[in-house]
Amino acid sequence: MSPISIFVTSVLAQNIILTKFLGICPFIGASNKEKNAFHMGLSVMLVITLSSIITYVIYHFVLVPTNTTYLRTTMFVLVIASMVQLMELFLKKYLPGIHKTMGLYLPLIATNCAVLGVTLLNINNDFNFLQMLAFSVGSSLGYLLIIYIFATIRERLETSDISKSFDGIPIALLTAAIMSLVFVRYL
Amino acid sequence: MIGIFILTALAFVLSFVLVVVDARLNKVDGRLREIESLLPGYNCGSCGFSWCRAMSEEILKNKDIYIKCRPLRGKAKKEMEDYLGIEEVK
Repeated sequence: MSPISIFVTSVLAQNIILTKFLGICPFIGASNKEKNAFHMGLSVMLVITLSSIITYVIYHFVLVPTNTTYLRTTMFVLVIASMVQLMELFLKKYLPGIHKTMGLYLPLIATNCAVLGVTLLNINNDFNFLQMLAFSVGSSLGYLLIIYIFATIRERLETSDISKSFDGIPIALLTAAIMSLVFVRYL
Repeated sequence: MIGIFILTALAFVLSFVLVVVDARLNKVDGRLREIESLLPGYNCGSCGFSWCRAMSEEILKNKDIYIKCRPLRGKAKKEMEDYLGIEEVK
């Protein structure tokens, strides 16, 4: 497959949240405000792209030659956690406002399974470097797009009249389900 | 066996990078550590801040705010006042 088609598919038709169901925790947790969701999406995008490149290099130049590919999950978790920490340090220094509003959800990117999912899928699908880059940027762009759209819908829902038992998370989950149906073309 | 070496080496490299970046970017004010050690360290939140480090950052900006720490009393309170140079109001 060409990198361009991989890019388009991973943004829309094979969106990482709505068709692979990865990274749901921050999808629900950090999408209550439009601005928070945008920052969350951008940080996830940065972490996914950086850690995909690093894990790809580590896998193909360290793990494959030494025949230790069974270590990949542990290795990748290690790399992702340090990337998140690194990003947190930079944000704390240069954008303290965002660091404060994101709060706990920023270090929790380390446990965001979208990141580990993308890095492992890069390996499992036998991508070359360009395809890997297209897939990780595309998936993370899809993440940003969906979490932003979802946050705008949720902001709208807050002002609308919803029955009391559905208010809050239940209606958000239903919205996510309907979005997911749209994305796999059942509607 | 070689897996252990690779994992250890990677962990060393990554932690080294993190430590260096942290030391370069966030130069912590030495007084912050001292104030934090003078606070009780329960992270109880009764002062209105989420944990004792947030409280000590506020004390650095405005030292009168130390009075909001409720578990700080007796000898510990006296030490904090000595450190901040505040005379007790009678």
